[in-house]
This record gives sequence, C-alpha cells and structure tokens, in this order.
Amino acid sequence: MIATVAALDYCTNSYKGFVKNKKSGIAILFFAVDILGTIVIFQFVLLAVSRGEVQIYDLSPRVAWVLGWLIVAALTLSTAIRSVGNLLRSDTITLRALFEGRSVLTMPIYSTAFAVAALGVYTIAVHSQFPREFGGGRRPLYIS
Amino acid sequence: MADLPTVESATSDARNQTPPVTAAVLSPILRASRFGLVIVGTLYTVGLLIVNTDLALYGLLSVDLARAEYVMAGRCGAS
Repeated sequence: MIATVAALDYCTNSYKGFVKNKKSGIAILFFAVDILGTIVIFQFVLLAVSRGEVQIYDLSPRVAWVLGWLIVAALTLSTAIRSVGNLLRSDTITLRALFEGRSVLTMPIYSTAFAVAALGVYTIAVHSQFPREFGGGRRPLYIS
Repeated sequence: MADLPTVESATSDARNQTPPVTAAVLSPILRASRFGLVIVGTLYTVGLLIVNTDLALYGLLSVDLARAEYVMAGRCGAS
C-alpha cells in the first residue's frame, strides 16, 4: 500500500508541477520520464510481490479487482498519513484537534478509522492474492 | 598510609575528564536503531492485524505473538 501511496503521490506532484510551469520540450520530456519511470517501478514491485500474477496492464476481472482495492486502500492511507502528519506538526495535541479538519475525510480520527477499515479491505481483497512466501495469504499447494 | 582524596582533587579530576566520545559516535546509530524499531513495530502491528483478519475468514484464531510471519505480512502490505 505504501508503494502505491508513494507512486500516486509522486505522479500527482509531478503533474501539478508540470501544469504550473511553462511547457517546454524538456519539461514535457522530464514529465513523461517521471510518470513512465514511476509506473515501471510500481509495476516491478507488483510483479515481484505477486510472482508476476498482478500487472497493471492486465485487465482481467481478478487483477482489476485487486488493483482497484489496492488503490482505494492506498488513497485512504494517504489521507490518513496527511491528516495525522498535520496533527503531529502542531505544538500541542489536544483531543479537539482529532476532530478538526476541512471535511470529514481529513479529520484525523475519521481518516484513521477509514485507514483501519481499508486495511481490512486490503486483507480480504489483496492479501489473499499474494503468495505466502512473500508474506501474502495464499497458501502453497501441498503434495499429499 | 595512602592519602585520602580531597574534595578539591576530586573536583579537578572531574573537570579534567574528557567528554564521552562514545555518546557522540553512537548518537546517529541510536537514532537509526530507534527509527528501525519503530518501523519494525509498525510492520509487526499491521502484519498481526492482516494475518489474524485473514485467518478469521477461515474460522481460525492465532494468539501466538512471536511469529516472524507478522513482519513479513506487514512488509508485503507496505509494499
């Protein structure tokens, strides 16, 4: 999930930087290399962890299901990291600060609860697809 | 008969002592190890939740806390 969060955040920041700055040929080239590089690294991580079974360009229902929930869980975790990070940056942490935020999603207490719920969803939808050798939940086949 | 240490000699000895070098050298290592402990602890906690939720789907319960599998599952979840 953290790799997904990092990839999504990096792509978002890269896109924002690209939109803000002047669009020269070099900027377009760097932006394309940034995005493609991030996608390739993310794909490599997914391939390594799932033993080549989960790929970005594979649109079969099983893989799409896994990737979809992975991205949802990563987005939820990203929101929780940001809101809790803002909370920890303040000088004093009060109980009231747990309920402060621009929306319900950005309140630290709610975002943490959503992240825990997303962890449960990750366990059910994604963890069971990864082999046990890499810490996943899919049991190997035993020869009886 | 041996001379007993006076208060003045004791304080001058304390003044002449060099500051402990090991503390300065170990400081980054200690900070890194603390950081590592936090990371491993987080992975362990996340892995514990993941593995036990997964086992609960099969009607199983694992109360054994000393399992390296939890860290592995946490690492898999992190990646």
